[in-house]
Amino acid sequence: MQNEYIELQLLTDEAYLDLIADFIMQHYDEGIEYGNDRLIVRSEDEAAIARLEAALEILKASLETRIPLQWEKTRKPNEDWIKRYQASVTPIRSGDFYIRPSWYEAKEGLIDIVIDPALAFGSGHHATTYSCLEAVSTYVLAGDEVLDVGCGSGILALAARKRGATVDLCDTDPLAVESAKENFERNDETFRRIWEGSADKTDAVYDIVIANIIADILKMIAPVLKARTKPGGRLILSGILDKKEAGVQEAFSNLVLERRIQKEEWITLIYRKDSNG
Amino acid sequence: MAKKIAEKFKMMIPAGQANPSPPVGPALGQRGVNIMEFCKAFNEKTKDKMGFKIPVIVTVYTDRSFTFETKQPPASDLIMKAAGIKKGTDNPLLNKVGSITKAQLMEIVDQKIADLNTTDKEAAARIIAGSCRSMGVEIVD
Repeated sequence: MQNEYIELQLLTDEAYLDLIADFIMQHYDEGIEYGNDRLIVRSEDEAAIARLEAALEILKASLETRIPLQWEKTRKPNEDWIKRYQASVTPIRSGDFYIRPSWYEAKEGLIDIVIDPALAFGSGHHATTYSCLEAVSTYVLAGDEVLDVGCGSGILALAARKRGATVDLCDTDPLAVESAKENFERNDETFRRIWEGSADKTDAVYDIVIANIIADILKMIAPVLKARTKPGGRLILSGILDKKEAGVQEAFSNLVLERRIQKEEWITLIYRKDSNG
Repeated sequence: MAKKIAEKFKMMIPAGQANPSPPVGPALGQRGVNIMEFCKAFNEKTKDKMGFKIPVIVTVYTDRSFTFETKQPPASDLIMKAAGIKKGTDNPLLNKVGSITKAQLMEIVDQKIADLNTTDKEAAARIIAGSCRSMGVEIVD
């Protein structure tokens, strides 16, 4: 790795960004980034930048003044970008859980969960995941059967499993299903079932159903979520923006609201289904 | 889950060749995107398009997770397809490697103009013609 890299910021009319980018890519083998009114070229290869600048001079001349095109060249300090990224992601603690990326060490006395921020949502850093982890920490007991609807990275089911529950997971996004499987494997944990789709693809009933989705979806699938919950069981609902809370409360008004957690503008609601069903 | 977008940005990267050095490293690292995961996923997704440059839109969420969407290759690839060549010239002044007609040029302009915020076909044609010349592709009547 070199100590410096060269950055070329090319300013042009927004309408022509794609075409100018295409032109650049004919003279330059690495990647480029788009800004609103500019293209950013970064390279450690001085000769490659010089060749590109020569080509840009020719293009600029042929465009005359019809399309604006100018650029600035600066040298910037290079870094170990992976290290910089890794340093920017810190472990979090919620309830009994210690959620950490794989490059950090476990913490004694806390339940360890390893999740690297990746393609599926749910690394524990979002307010809703954080609050759900707190709820899982309080309400999930060993031997419970738990369903995580909209599992994303699988972090909540993983947390429930770490507390001794038997867990099922589902998500309509195939990427999330794959990611959840990988995260269970990385944490040496097992799930009972996982499927692509929603909670209507099973007839099973659960002690705890977790759904950290968004308010509108929660309202839409409210009857299914309730049907999947055992009499006396609980529903942990999250992903609810404060301004949408009333609508969700209305959709679940035949259950008992046991607890409400607010973190930033996000609400988590914990409901209990009556023992008589 | 409640996905809240922190940032969305676009890059163009050679298929199958994303790596943590500049330009990809600084672009992703500054935004807190998992560079290793992105490179792995991008290279896997584009491995059957090696040799092409792939526009990619990356969405970063507030919890540091991300998604990305790849787009079709740019106009230069359309030029190569129209000219029936696999590669541009290494010396556009001395070696011409193919040609396309003005009609083909305007067809490419028509395809690309949908992606642009302009209706000035003449200006778009000048840039694409510039790409043709630099690739050693002549424009004939």
